[in-house]
Amino acid sequence: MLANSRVLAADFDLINPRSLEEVLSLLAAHGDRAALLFGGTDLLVQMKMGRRSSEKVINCRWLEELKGIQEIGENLEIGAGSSLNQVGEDERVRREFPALEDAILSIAGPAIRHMGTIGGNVVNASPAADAVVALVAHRARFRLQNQTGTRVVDSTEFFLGPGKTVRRPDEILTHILLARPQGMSVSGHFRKVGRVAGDIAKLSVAVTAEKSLVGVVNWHVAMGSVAPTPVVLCEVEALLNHNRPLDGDITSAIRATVAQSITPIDDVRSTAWYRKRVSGVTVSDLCEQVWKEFEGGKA
Amino acid sequence: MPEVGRNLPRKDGVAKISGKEPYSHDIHLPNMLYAAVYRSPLAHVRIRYVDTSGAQALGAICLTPQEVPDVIYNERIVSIPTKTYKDRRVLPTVARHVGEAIVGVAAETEELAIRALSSLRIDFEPLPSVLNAEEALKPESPKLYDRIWLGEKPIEMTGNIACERHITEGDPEAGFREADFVVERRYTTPRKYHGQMETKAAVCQPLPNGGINVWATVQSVHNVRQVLGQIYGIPLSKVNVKKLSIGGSFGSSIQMNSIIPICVGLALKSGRPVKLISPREDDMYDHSHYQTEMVLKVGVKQDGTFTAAKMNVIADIGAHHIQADALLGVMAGWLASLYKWKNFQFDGQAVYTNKVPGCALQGFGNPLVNFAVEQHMDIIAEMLGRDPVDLRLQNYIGEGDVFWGQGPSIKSIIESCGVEEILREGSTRIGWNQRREPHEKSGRYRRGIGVARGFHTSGTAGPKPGDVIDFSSATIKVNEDGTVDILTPVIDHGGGTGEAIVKIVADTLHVPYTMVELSDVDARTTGYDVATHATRGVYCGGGAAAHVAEEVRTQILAMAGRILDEEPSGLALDLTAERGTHVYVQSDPNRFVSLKDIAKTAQIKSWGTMAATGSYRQSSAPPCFMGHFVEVEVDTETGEVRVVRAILLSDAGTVVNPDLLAGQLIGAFARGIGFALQEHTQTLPSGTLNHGGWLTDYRMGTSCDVPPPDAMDVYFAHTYESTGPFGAKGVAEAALSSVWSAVANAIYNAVGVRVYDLPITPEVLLEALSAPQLIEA
Ligand SMILES: Cc1cc2nc3c(=O)[nH]c(=O)nc-3n(C[C@H](O)[C@H](O)[C@H](O)COP(=O)(O)OP(=O)(O)OC[C@H]3O[C@@H](n4cnc5c(N)ncnc54)[C@H](O)[C@@H]3O)c2cc1C
Repeated sequence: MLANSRVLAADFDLINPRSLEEVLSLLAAHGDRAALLFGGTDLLVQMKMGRRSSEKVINCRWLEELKGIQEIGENLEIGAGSSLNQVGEDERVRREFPALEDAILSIAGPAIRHMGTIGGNVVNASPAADAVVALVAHRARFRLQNQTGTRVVDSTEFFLGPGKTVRRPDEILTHILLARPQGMSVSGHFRKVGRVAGDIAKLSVAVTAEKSLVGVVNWHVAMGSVAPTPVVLCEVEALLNHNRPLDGDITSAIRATVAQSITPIDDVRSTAWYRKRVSGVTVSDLCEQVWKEFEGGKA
Repeated sequence: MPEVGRNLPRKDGVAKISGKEPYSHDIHLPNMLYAAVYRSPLAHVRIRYVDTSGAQALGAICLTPQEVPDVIYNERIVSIPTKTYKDRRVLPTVARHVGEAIVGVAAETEELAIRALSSLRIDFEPLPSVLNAEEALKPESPKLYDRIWLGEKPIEMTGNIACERHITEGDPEAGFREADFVVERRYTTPRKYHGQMETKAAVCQPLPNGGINVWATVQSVHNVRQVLGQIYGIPLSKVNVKKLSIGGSFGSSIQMNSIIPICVGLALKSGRPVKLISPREDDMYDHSHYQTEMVLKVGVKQDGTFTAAKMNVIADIGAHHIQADALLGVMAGWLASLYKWKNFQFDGQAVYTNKVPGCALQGFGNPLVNFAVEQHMDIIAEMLGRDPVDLRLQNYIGEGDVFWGQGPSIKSIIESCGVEEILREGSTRIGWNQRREPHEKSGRYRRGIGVARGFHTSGTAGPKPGDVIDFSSATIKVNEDGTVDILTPVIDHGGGTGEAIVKIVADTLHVPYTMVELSDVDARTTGYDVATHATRGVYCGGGAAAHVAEEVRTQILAMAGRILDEEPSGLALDLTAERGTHVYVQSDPNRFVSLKDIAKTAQIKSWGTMAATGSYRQSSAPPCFMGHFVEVEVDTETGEVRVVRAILLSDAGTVVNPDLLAGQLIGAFARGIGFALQEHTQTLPSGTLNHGGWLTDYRMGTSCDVPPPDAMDVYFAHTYESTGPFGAKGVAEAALSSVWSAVANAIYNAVGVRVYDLPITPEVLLEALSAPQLIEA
């Protein structure tokens, strides 16, 4: 087969810039004809498979400016070039954004998580990207930069379709911004339904919520692999945010609502029918799990 | 203390874990070219013309269908020539499946070779294709072949039936009339991928004398040597195939891999060494396991005895006949050898389709037949109100009965049998009597316990020659310091066959394991061995080594006799801590000479080397039995099945490598779970694979998908097979035989739903759970 996972036979220029500034000027010059290489765990696979070709490959793997996690103001700012392991193992992420930790741990295995970056998971914009689902549930925002300046886009508005985002060809994703919970306890979970462990998702769900004096509030629910982009389940969130105990009535209502909010397809991993059926079950399972954690006094 | 039965470090262990063990991928020769293969994008197509000018302009050397020898062959020569069907060439003028190799290209780098592939211009004439067996059987369907060959005899094809087998014993119709109940069900098993770690690779070095050296992924150096000699018209004395470690194969290299003769052709054409490594995607388009449909009908009396069994099989073999005739024979044999049916009928058809060629996969039809029979046993037990374990104990074929797992031409009387021990021990360990019926269970998560038993043959030998060739060879010599070299052609798939042979020789010669080594060998330096297939490595390969070691032992006693001035018959060979390996005078044990001194003396006095070469055919093909007791948990809301606990019980005779045997049982179980619940290759209407050849889309289970180590219990039955080396039989393929059936039976016990088609994915199970409940008749 011409496309294969063994040898990358395509011809391209590999450029090794030394700074973000240099990357931005390369992007300004080459735009669409260039690809940014971070961990390469998506890009190189796509190039080998012949799904993508680029005349220039700009290697950003060693750019220290985009690595690391910092508390800045009300936000946790995650450098887009931080490895998935680095993000998943960060104490603040684990404490304050538990669904993200869960999601990262569900990605492949340690070796891929060491190579792959959080920014790569976002910009690659696969409908099955796991960290993305948790980021959307945590209502992350993405900072993009080009030679003229920066802008910040909500994660709920960033994705347009498989592999498509609002990022312009001359922009790089520099940071992921997560608003830190203010003095309240947080819970969140992510579950991926796969064929085997470490698989690409048949469907995935992230649920987060916070405990306040009046009860469990701020429910956020997002799904992956059930539509061309990550899906925010607004109606489910509304049901949950009514702030009453999560009982059987609500879980049945959740199940019914989920199926209407998603547009899954048949593919090699699963069927549309199965995804619809099991999405409702998985969302309500996860909501119950979060609810029980608060009830059980973890909060 | 004997070495057989001890856990000892593997001979190749350090080399393998430190990355120093050479595989064919690692062979580098000076001035070597790298090859890649252009594969058919269409399911059925005539290749009118290949324009290689573009590729040549890039500096590539091309091998086209017009340039390969016009020799029709079968890449598997395990069966005798008159039972070997032949339908393929090195490169075809008509490609019969998507992914069939059409052109080979070699260049200075692999990247360049792959780029050269895109410069080929091929004039195709698309032909109508047929992609499933049912269609292929219709008279109006497109035909794959006009003519194939059985041995030297041409067969004019009228349709797509590659071969048929009809085997009857007794009077099945009368048997069914006698029955109180007749149970009939249809079972199917899908295509799936072997998933061996190493993709196939070959390196070929053309020699100035017109000969070739080949390093490749093989299960038999000798068969590959012979097929290459036959295709390229080179005398065997000038064809050498090296024995190397292989990264598994699960049966997919019993035949010569399709890339090997392409690599040879490129090397001969270019006059330079050529290396050809299959990318994973090519490998997935190169071989598959057979897809089958089995209709099983069993007649049974109220008291649980059987009156007749009848099985109809349709096997979709894909585009080439690799070993379908043998497949049907063994499927009949597995069925006939499981239970006392009394009357028996098997009707099988192997059908060509424009799909990836099917070939053996761990068990060669055995797990397929088992999937039908062992579910059938549970269905019958439930119908009769009998305990499934009891019904099996009442009817199994065991000691003193005839076993013909490898087909009607290979019959043996069973001499060692651990079935009863396996079933009783497994029942105790899993807590069989606490098992509850499906209707007693409720709630979202339901657990179920299932049993299935199976077996495999140990080799394909026997008292009389059959349709399959089976013997092995060895050369053993004692070095001048008392250490021992073994030259064995037997390929170790990674399961420890090599270590087993070392232990068998060590114990025969009373030499410590650490003083016996396996030599680097090839087809030139060893006698013939048919292949490491049919679970024959230890029983047949080890059997031959034991046989030759006996001869060496005789020589040692003779040499010692000259030194001690005694008749050899009055001497004995032994190993003790003080003396090491030595020969002593039985009537005066204080008189002895060490093996080291014997060997050194023989050299100094120019008596010669103590060494022997020989071949040996086993006189039996004894079954190694297996049992699986499995507990699953089904999530009735998602259809997901988790295997939570398993008891894996084997009867391998004397256990030669205990830790490696446990590893085989656990490894096969892990793989079996994947086959039961997940793995499935579908061919799309275009003839391409649903996963496109990408491993990400053909997912195999991981270590996280099997029960944790403390929930998997391994047990070895206490049996001794007197025909085997030190009482050993085989185990490898048996380990997979009953996994799928046990999982399916456990799922039924959990939720009361029986699935007859593999794999039992969550999608399939959830749909079955959502359907109106079918009550078992
Ligand atoms: C074996 C295997 C298993 C996998 N399993 C999973 C899984 O379970 N779940 C999952 O979600 N993913 C999985 N992946 C996909 C992949 O590992 C992740 O998506 C990873 O996060 C990608 O990061 P990367 O740094 O490797 O991206 P790269 O491949 O380097 O880049 C991906 C794309 O994003 C662009 N890009 C990357 N960073 C930026 C940036 N900062 N600004 C602008 N553009 C950028 C690149 O140009 C490229 O187009 C798997 C991959 C492999 C090989």
